[in-house]
Amino acid sequence: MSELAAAPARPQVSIAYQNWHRFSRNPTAVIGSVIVTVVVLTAVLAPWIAPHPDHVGSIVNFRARHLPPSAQYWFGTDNVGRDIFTRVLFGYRVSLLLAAVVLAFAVPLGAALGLIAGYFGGWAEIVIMRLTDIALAIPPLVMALAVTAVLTPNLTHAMLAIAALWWTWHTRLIFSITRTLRAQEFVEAAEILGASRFHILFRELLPNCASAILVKTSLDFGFVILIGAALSYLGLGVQPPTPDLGTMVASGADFLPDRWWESMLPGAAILFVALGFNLLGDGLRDLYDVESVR
Amino acid sequence: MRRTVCLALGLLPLAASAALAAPHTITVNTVQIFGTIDPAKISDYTDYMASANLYDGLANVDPKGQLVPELAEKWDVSPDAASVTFHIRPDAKFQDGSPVQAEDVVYSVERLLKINQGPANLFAGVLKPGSVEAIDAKTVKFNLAKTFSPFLATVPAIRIVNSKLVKANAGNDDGQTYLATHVAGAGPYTLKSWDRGTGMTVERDPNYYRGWGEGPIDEVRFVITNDEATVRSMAASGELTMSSQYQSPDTYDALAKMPRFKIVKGETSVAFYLKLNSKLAPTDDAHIRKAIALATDYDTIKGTILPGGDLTGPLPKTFAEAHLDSPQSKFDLEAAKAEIAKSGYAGKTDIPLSFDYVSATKFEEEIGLLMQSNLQQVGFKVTLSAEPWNRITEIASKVEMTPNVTEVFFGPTYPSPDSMFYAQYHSKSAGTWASMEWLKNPEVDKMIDDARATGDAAEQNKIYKALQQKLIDDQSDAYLETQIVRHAMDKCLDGYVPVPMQSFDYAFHKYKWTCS
Repeated sequence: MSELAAAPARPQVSIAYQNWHRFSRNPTAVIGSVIVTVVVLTAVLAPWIAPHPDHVGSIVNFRARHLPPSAQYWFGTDNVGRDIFTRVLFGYRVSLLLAAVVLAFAVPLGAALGLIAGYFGGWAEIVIMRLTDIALAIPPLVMALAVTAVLTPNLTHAMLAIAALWWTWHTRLIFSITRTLRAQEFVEAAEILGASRFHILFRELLPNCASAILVKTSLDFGFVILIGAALSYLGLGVQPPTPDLGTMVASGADFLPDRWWESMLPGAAILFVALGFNLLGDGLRDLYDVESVR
Repeated sequence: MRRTVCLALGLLPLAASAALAAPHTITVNTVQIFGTIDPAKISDYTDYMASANLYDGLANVDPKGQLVPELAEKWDVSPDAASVTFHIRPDAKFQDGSPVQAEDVVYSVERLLKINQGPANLFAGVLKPGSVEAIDAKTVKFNLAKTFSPFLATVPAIRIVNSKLVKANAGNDDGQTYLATHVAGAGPYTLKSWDRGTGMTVERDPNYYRGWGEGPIDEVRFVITNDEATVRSMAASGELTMSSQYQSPDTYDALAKMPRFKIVKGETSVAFYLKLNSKLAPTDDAHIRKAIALATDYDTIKGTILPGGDLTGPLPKTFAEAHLDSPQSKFDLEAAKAEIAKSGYAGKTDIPLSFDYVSATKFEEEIGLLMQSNLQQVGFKVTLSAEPWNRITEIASKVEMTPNVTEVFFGPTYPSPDSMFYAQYHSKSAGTWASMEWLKNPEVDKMIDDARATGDAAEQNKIYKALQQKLIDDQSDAYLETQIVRHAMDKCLDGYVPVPMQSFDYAFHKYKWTCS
């Protein structure tokens, strides 16, 4: 309410404006959203803004290998003479795409299962939540390594394995929220009016979980990007010559410490994007006051 | 009683410190695991490296490829070259102290033929069960089933096992389980510890029958790592004494700057090929193979990426008499395009090509990226895959799993051109990592067999030259370079001399520690 009082001159302020106002007062959230915006924009616009867009494809220049950072090559060049800055920008595409794919699978599945378990209770709750507990007990990195040992070792398979485990966190979160919501009057009212179960789940309950899902998902983005980088560092990378941040760190590590830029700068790029999503998530959590999301 | 105990306790630390002060322990890194130490199964460079230290053969090889005595002090070849008689040294003994006798040689050969892995293919059709007979306790005769001119050169590959010890632990698999983890040989080093993933330690046998010279190496620790940064940090911390021969040029440069290290070099008979699968589309088309060879930037590869010697055909020039003096292949993208125009893929773009290399080997990745870039310009779409070495040996066993192009090193396992030709190009070797070309060409087989069957060296070299011409005309491979072996070695360590037999230059009996 204090925010409303702070803006008495404009009694007609919209909820969106109030939210924006609170959001823009939160420095972490602003920094986070700026970083995320910058990363997303550079990833999308990479072909137009990268200084050497041809260095993403199949190209080698052994005369320009291992060059330190300079005006021409901002992040220096790698062991076959490609511009690392360009490859970092394109590497963001792979990272963001993989995170988006994993979460596009994990979040709807996790949310739906959490709603069902929380609303229906009984057997649905027992089966879904115990399955969740089992899945939570498996470390995602180990699962990814196991899956890729069976299938061909590449990043797509690894991320499928991650996606197959990631829904659990959303299920738990949504389950706990739904369980408290289901006893509230608006749910009962909808039930008395004869609303369908589908309506109650997705029109009544889901919108009330939306803020929690949004916060959790933005935090997840950072974590999934980190896990993806860890996996490609371990050798489950994408097809060469496609740039990938984790692979770049691993490949540059062979030249440490003399040619620090070949691994440190892609590493810093991973740090940057993971930090951005974490700050944004923290900011959103403060904004919506969602206590249940850690 | 009590006094004796005190005395013993008092002496113990003294004895221990005396033993600890002297030993020269060296640490050597290898880039792959030791697959096996069973002498009937050894095949790759680390296997042979272990075998060269743990076991002895009847004869050894000198740097010129000549046979020199080891367990046998001398041997006589019959006038018709159909049999060879070896006379075992009277003092030759195994690590457990028992004498090496003719029956051990017979058993070792019979076991090798029966298990039929590793070096057994060298003797296919040459030695049969019963071919080797003990004349007396110290004399053993090899009756060859057919004239096989390179036979003597293959003798060092027969590592002699202690027949009494192996028979006592034979189980039902001829001691394969026992010899997978135990050593029953006469070699200068005994196995101290072996952890498959991380490394192996061998220890000097002070009672070795051939004796030891000045400054012997008491213990050799092989550490498995192909990570350049690890090698460099081990060198900086003083842990590493000798690097593998497969480090990146940067690592040699970095180690050369450290005052403790010297870089030793030697041109070897190990050749580096792009093996082209001749039975898988599109490399089943000779014009496509020629196009790949023409799109190979030899100067960048052997000048910048991995410094090496010239290789103009399948046989390295170290085999001077048999080597065909052919022109160096050219790097010419226009000519490569012209070859594609002559092939069944004329006018096509994005011709799919699979290209594998050993993972975590920096220069192989760089060559892969270079090839991908050049091949793309002439119309190929190259799928690069980095595979661990054990995966490459696995995919080499099936023709449809073998990639179009694979980066492979191959060196002679015995000092004869036959080793290069038979293991890579003969139909009987198909399905191994050394013959990922899948030639299966009856003409080539016949030439290799003919060369084996003749005792006349001039005739043999003539056949070998014709064979090289044929392989070059067919473009069996893209011939990249010969390996110039480089090791970063502690200045106190001496003894590396290239030997034209796989890993026999890493028999540490020949090495010495020159500092006090």
